[in-house]
Amino acid sequence: MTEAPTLTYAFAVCRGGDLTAPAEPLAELPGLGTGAPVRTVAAGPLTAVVQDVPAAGYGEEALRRRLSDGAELERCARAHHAVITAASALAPAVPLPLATVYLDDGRVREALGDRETSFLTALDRIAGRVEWGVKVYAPTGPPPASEAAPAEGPGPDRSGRAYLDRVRTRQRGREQRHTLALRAAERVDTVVRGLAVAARRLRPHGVEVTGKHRAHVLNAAYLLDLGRERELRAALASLRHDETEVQIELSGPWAPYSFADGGITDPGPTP
Amino acid sequence: MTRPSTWDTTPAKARWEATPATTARREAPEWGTTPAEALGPLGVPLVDLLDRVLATGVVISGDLVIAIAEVPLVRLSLHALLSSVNERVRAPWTDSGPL
Repeated sequence: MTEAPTLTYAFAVCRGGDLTAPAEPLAELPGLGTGAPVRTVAAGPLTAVVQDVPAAGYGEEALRRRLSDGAELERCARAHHAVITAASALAPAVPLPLATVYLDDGRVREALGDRETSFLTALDRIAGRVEWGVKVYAPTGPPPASEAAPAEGPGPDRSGRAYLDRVRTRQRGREQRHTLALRAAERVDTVVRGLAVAARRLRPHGVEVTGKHRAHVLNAAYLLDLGRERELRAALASLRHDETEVQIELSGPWAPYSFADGGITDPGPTP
Repeated sequence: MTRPSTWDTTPAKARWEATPATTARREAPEWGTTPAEALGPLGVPLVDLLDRVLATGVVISGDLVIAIAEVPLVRLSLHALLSSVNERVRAPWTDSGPL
C-alpha cells in the first residue's frame, strides 16, 4: 500500500435508509477540498457522512494549527457547513461539531454504535424542522440629547458636585437602558419560544464582534417546524414594531446545529 | 432578493446614529427566501456559523480532537475569529480604544 495515510472526517449522521439512494449529490461536493469524495459509512441503523482527509494535514497537531489560523478556520467552517447543508437537504441530519476526526471508518462505526440511541432520538426530534437564529442588540452609544445635556450653563452650578450628579445621572441612564433592553430581549425570546419546539441560548457576542456601540443582549436558537417560517417572520415584524429600543436580527434556516445533542434544551428564563 | 448579512465597513456607531431605528430594523439583513439561497455556505455570517459548528452539536468524541475539542478549541478559534473579523471589519472599535 503506497497511498498516504488518511483519517476519516465526519460531518453529519443520518438514518441509514435515508441516504443510501440519493447519496450521489454528496459525492460531487468538494468537502474539505482534499480531493477525496464525500461519502457515507453505514453503521447499523445510522449512516455517517464522511470524507477521507490526509493524516498529515488533519492530525491533532496539524488540526490545531489549522484552526488557529483565521482564514483556514473560516474555510473549514464553511466547508463543514456546506456538507451538512447538502446532507440536510437529502435527509434529516444531525450535524457533528467542526473537526470531528476518526482514525478510520471502523472507529466511526464504533462511535455511532456507542451513541446509537441518542442519535436516533436526535434524528426524530429534528426531522421536518429547521433552526432559526434570533439576535437582539441594544445600542450603547451616547444617550438621547435631552438626557445627555441637562440644561448646563456657565454659572454657579458648574461645581464638582454638579459634575458628579451629571455623571451619576448618565450612569443610571445607561443601566436603565440596559435593563430595558434585557427585558425587551426576554419578550422577544418568549414570543419566538411560543412558535418553537425547542429553544437554546447561545453565548452573546462580545464587544470585539458587535462593536463598541451596541451590546448583544440575546443570541438564541429555535427549532421550528418547517411550515412556520411565515409565522416567525410575522412575529418578528410585530416585535420590531413594538420593541423600538432594540435591534432584532433573524438568521436561518440553519441545519439544526443547536439541537443535535440528546434533547437537552434550556427551559427558558425563570420568572 | 436580499443576501445574508455581509460585514459592513461602516463603524457600528456611525451606522447606528446615521440610521433611524425604524429604518435600521426594516433594513436589517434578512436571509434569502429559497432554501438553496438561504442555506448556501457563502454569505452566511462567519460569527453565526462558528457559534454553531464549534459550540454546539452532538456530544461525540472524535479520536483525535478530544484534547482540543473540550475547551481549548473554542478559545483557539475565538482568537482566530477575532483576527479574521478584524481584517474584514477594519476594526471599528480600534479608533475608540479599549473600554
